[in-house]
Amino acid sequence: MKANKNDIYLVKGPSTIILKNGLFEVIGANYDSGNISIHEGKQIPIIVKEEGELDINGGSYEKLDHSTIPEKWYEIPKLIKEKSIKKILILGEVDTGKSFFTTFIANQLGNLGVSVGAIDTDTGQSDIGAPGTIGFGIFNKPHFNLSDVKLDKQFFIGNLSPGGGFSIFLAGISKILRYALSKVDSVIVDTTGWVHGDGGRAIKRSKLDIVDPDLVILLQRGRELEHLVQHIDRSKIIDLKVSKKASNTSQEVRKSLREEISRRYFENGGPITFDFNKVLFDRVYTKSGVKMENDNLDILYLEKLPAWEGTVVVFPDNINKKRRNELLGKFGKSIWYSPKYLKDIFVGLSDENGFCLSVGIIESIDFVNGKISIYLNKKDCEKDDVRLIQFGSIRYNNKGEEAGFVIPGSI
Amino acid sequence: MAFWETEFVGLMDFIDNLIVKYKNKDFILSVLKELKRIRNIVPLNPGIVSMCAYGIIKPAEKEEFENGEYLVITKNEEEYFGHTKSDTENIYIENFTIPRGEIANIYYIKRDTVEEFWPTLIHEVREK
Repeated sequence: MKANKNDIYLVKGPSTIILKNGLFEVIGANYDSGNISIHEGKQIPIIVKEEGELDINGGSYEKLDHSTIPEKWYEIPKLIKEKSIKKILILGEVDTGKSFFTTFIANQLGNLGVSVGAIDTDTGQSDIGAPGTIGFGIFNKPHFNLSDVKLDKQFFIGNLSPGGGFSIFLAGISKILRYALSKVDSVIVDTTGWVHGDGGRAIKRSKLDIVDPDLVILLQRGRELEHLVQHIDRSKIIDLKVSKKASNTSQEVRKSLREEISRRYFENGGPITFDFNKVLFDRVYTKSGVKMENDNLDILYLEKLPAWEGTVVVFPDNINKKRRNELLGKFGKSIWYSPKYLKDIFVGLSDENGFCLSVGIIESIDFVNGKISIYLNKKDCEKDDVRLIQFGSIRYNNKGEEAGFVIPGSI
Repeated sequence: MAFWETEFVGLMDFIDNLIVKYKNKDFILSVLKELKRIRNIVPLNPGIVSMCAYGIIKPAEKEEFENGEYLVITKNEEEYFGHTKSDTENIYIENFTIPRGEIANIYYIKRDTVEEFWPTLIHEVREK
């Protein structure tokens, strides 16, 4: 269709837009042609800067009489460049457009010749990197979606929310941030929308301390974020009102968006088997102590843990409850399970520096022969580079659908 | 002051209030069993368990409740718990007959709070 100068379209995904000719501004970057994919649950404004043609296929769109991007937004990248600001932290509740804003600022900084990268800390809906990870990507060119940014480094969290483990989450941010600062001039940290209650306050306040941002951008509806930044010099804060056009995502749609990400990630995957001797287990008790001799056929694996932590006891899947309890009585404090309990656990396969190469799903584990088989996207990593198998707290089936939880401290 | 980093504290508060507010041990045990069921479904999310916990005990309309499992509190603060039947004059719970006029409050145990509030978290619970 024909696009007139100053026309503004708000397009809702899932949709594909074909820019045929003319000049268009899309999330802070200019294009004269190209294809844009908008994922479900996302929406993108297209500003026509010079008359041309475009097609919108699928989804829905509305024509607006003014831009949803306030003029103030365009001043921020200039300020970042002018003051050589290195660390920018974005804060906002859920559905306030944080990822959109991150993409906009990064695209604009790219236009200004600043090398910029983004850290995506939303493990529930990972745009950069695998599901359940904190990912970092560099904007080598403009992007329509944060999810189109090529992953540079990621850290495995293994959970869809920071609430599943503050320490791992904060360690991940610190580790990825250090790496990111060595790669680009400016790093934008996109955060989760959990900002209230004990947990939300604690994690966000710690995140502010760890990142120690040079600039904090608040995406607020009212004053809901002020409690987090009252200790920060006001000159380091930019307060932006949330666009009324920011999308509102339900619990069901969030789950569907998450599963779409994991489905895409695991499609065309396959199993790889690792020897116990060649990899370390991380974030679990198992394989962290000293293996014990065992000649009891009703026990597959025994391991003595340090200090008061007790014994890891692995039983065959088919052991009866009475016999199991009888045997457990001999060990006192113990961490026990059967191999079937490990099936479908979400794991990270990480290198010797603790950076995640790939994520996977445990298919099976053979304690007698010391083998673990993991379903993963094989193109992501070389088997020999994997040093750590980091256990997560959730399960997926091999279609990438969420399949339950792992009780913390149970393995 | 520091913030709690675990929301299990909310569960302890719930249990504390439960024990203080109600006397009937069978009722308290039934509520705790429901709490355990929810915790087994979402072991990672004590905040969600806690949120659901406060939805377990629901007041019922004195005039309109259906026959089934209820906690009945009379005007003398006596508590009766179990399966009830009723007619226009009385309700019958276990071996007790309680005149409707003496009833102060009626509650029932809602056994699908997590399914209603967080249907996206319902998965098969794996055995160890």
